[in-house]
Amino acid sequence: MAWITIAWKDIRLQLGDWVGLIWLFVTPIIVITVASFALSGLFNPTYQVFTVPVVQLDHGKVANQIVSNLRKLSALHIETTAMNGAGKVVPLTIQQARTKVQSDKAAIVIPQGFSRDVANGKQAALIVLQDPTDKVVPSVVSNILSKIVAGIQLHDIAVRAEIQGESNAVAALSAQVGHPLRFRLNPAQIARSSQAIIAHGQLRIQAQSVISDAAHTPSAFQSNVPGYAVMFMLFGTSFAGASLLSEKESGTLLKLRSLPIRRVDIIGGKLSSNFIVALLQAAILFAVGRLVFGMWLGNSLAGLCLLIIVTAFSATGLGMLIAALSKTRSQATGLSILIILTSSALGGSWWPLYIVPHWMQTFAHITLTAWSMDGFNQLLVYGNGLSAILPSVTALVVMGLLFFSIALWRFRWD
Amino acid sequence: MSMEEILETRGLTKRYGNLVAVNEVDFTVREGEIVGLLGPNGAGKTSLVSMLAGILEPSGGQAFVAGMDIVRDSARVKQIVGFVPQDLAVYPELSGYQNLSFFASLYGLKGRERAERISDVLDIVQLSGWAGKKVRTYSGGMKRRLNLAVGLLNRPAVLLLDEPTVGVDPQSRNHIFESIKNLVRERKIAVIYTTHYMEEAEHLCDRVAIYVDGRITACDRPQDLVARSGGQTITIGFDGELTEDVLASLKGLPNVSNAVVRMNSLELFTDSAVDIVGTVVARLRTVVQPTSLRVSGASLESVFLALTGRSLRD
Ligand SMILES: Nc1ncnc2c1ncn2[C@@H]1O[C@H](COP(=O)(O)OP(=O)(O)OP(=O)(O)O)[C@@H](O)[C@H]1O
Ligand SMILES: [Mg+2]
Repeated sequence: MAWITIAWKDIRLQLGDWVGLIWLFVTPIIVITVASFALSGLFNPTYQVFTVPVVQLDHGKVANQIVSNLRKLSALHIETTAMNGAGKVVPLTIQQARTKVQSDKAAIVIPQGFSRDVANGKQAALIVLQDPTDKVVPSVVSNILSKIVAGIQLHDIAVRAEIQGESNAVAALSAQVGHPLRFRLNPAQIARSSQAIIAHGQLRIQAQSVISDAAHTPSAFQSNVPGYAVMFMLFGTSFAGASLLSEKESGTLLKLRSLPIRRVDIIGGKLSSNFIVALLQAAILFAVGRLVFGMWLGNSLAGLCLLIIVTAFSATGLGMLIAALSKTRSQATGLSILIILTSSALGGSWWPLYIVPHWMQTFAHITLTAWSMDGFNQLLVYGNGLSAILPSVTALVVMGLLFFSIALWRFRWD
Repeated sequence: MSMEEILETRGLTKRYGNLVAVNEVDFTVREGEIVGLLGPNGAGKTSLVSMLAGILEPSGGQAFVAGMDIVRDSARVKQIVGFVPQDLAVYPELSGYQNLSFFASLYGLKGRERAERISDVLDIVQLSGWAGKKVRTYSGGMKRRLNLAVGLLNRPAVLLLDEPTVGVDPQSRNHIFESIKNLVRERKIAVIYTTHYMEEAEHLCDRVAIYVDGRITACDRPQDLVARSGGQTITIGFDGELTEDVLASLKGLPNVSNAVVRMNSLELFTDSAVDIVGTVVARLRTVVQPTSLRVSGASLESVFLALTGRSLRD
């Protein structure tokens, strides 16, 4: 029967092509593995310990009490210090905490004079810095904090009430003995402050967003548009890069080499067209995001353009590298799909990187996607400017140059 | 005819691993001359021509075009060499005109000059009427003609044609031949023409190089090759199986330059058929039954067989 013959030939061809096999079987396994590790936190029944930076600007009794109570909780990892530029461990500053909130999602600030204000019965507030992109962590931290504070307050009131009682007893005793007995504490003062605390109610916990532009609460588009833009730029550039291989297969590359032009011109021409197409792709996606979905483009259009340009640059480089490492166009296609899907899962195209385990966040930065997404988050979620994306820009340029050099070195012209 | 030599190879060699595709080839081509490289599949024709076109690095030896080393002066050599690859090298999704325009630009041609060149080469390959159509819609022969046109764009001083007429119908082929001859006559260009078609070589080429296993066994005017080979072929048909030792003994006869068996017929190349035909038939009779006998004058084909022991038409 003819269809059996045809099926058999096709199965043989498909199973004989190792790159085809990679794409069919290995790629899904790798992507499933990466995605499962990434999302392990969401499904793991044992609770996750999360890090909470604490900026302790007050070292009074109450402040210390709060910090030590926080430390007793096994669900939290409390960080009060950081490394300074000289490599010394110093207390965390508010500025550092604001940055940390982008990955830890919440931080606690104990303001200066907090303990004194509490002691004097004045209004005192603890600040919870929070990243509004995350709905869970900041509210968990606020809840825990208010429980601790309530506990301290109750304890405090009880102690004060007892002292009050004692001092009343001392006063009664003084009346009996006929001369005033000295009491170490000033009963009048204690009475006043206890009253004040009870009257003013609890200590306040104040939420404060770390996003500088409060007018623009981030939507899902803020991370989906760049995420998918990066992924599809990678698809575009790798398929375009592979067209160098189809020119090799069709013989036009050979013909081009017989012309009085340099190899750099041939590669350079290919590169430029791939790069321009990638830029167009990104431009259209962001334009649709803006015009159709009303996505906010951040506070720095220059930064956004720069980031798109360097992302397109390194994506183009990766496309050329894939072409250089492949013998045929179909090999390049298989390799591209493997690399792109893995990078997207690992690098944060599909979900924000902060939800993946810490070790994986670090590991993710072998992909250009992770660097690019870091930059887009700085611009589009946190509303930061050019300086915030410099690490990403630098990393992407270095990666791009590296990819190009290896591609030029490894490309087989014959 | 004392023309200037425009192309020369000295010990030119190409190896692919252990395989020697081009084996220390020495030959020269003069201005205004068409030299045919006649050889069977796998002889190394494409390898040799690719080195001259600057797209394949020689493994050894040297070659010069207009006195310039093909490796060291590669860029300048490429300016004056036109290369028509054996495999089609045009973009199917572009029109014929767009293809030509693209390649012409890479030769640095602009504006009116480019347009003139393009219409010039379109005339030569008779594709002017199709220039605006996508190459994807061309017939196989038309694609070949476009492929040839691309190689003519830079008005080369040396034209390398690697089997350019495979699949081209006789009429178009004749037209291409006439055009090439005209170019050679008018512009004194030199042409290297690889082919495994005997008639093409005989018809078109001023000189023919017999090229087998990466070596040029003989290179001369077709008529001189034929004359020099001694000139006669004895063809004997037979029934039965001819043994190796009998064939060897026939080859060893005086005046016999070579002998080959094809199907059930023996071909023997000799200067003097009359002197040996009796002996040959007698020896054959010891093992097989001769059924027919024919003696003919030499042809390029018989020369090729005599020199290489191989046929071009297997
Ligand atoms: N890239 C390559 N790698 C290894 N061997 C090769 C390569 N290219 C050609 N060869 C071998 O070199 C020999 C000469 O090949 P070449 O293509 O030069 O022959 P040709 O005379 O042009 O043949 P044809 O008439 O079939 O076009 C052949 O044995 C071929 O298998
Ligand atoms: Mg060939």
